[in-house]
Amino acid sequence: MTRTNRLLLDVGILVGLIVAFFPAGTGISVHEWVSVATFVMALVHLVINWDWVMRTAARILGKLRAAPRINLIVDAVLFVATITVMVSGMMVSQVIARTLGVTVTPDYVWHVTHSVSAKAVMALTAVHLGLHWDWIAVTTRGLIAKAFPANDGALAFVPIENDEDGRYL
Amino acid sequence: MPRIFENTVMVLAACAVTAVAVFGAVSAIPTSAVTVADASATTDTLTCPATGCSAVSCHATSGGTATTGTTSSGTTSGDGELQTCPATGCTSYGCHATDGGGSGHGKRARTPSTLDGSSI
Repeated sequence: MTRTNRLLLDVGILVGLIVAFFPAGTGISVHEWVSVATFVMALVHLVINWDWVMRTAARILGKLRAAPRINLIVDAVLFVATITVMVSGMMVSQVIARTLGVTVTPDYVWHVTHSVSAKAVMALTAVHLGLHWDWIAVTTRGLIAKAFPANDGALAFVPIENDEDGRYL
Repeated sequence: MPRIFENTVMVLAACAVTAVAVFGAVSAIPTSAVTVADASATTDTLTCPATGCSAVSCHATSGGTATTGTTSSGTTSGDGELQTCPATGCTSYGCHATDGGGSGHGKRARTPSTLDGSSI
């Protein structure tokens, strides 16, 4: 997947998370369906980066710099929080459950779990964004440079690559 | 097997394992500690406990254990909810509201109902 598509996917996830985080403003139906769509995008994001996850996880107990180690820990907690918010979301679902013909018995514990895990996902996503801000900034600048190519002698955009620790060069 | 499919299988497997673990862990939390409804309440209206609630959900309890129930929604403070007793021998109804992405609070209870299909 090209960097452009990866950035668009990430933007889609971020927008989806923000929309899903305010069900009072969108209504339950939009909240539930946007959440599912965002979850699917997040899975694609994870599939794309799974090789890095495995590579880093294999070295987590060995010699590894702090940055990828912190990245992996944050990502792992974010993954668990994401699964938790989706599982609890299904357990308190009103629209999707009804669409699937499933009768859901709302439970206070699942409501609280859904609420806490949703806040955790938002907080951890902010940390995740911060840890990858260099890539986001450089890629965004690259897209802008590609859309508006310099023809006045200015430096052209140079594609970047990431090293084996996931750091962007 | 192409790498992308292999990764997809691994991610889905990780999701399934984690989902089962989460479900087991949360289900193990004793619900009686947080869903006990005040059966002594006699109000007929289930009220949304906070302004801007996005939903009010109710379920029936039978002998202290949550049973199958119905869900309805309300969008404003004070919304009334019509609930149907989902099983014979319901002892109370417990309701809570979802305030935006927030937690459910403000449980409301109904007087005990002993008839299947009885409504509030």
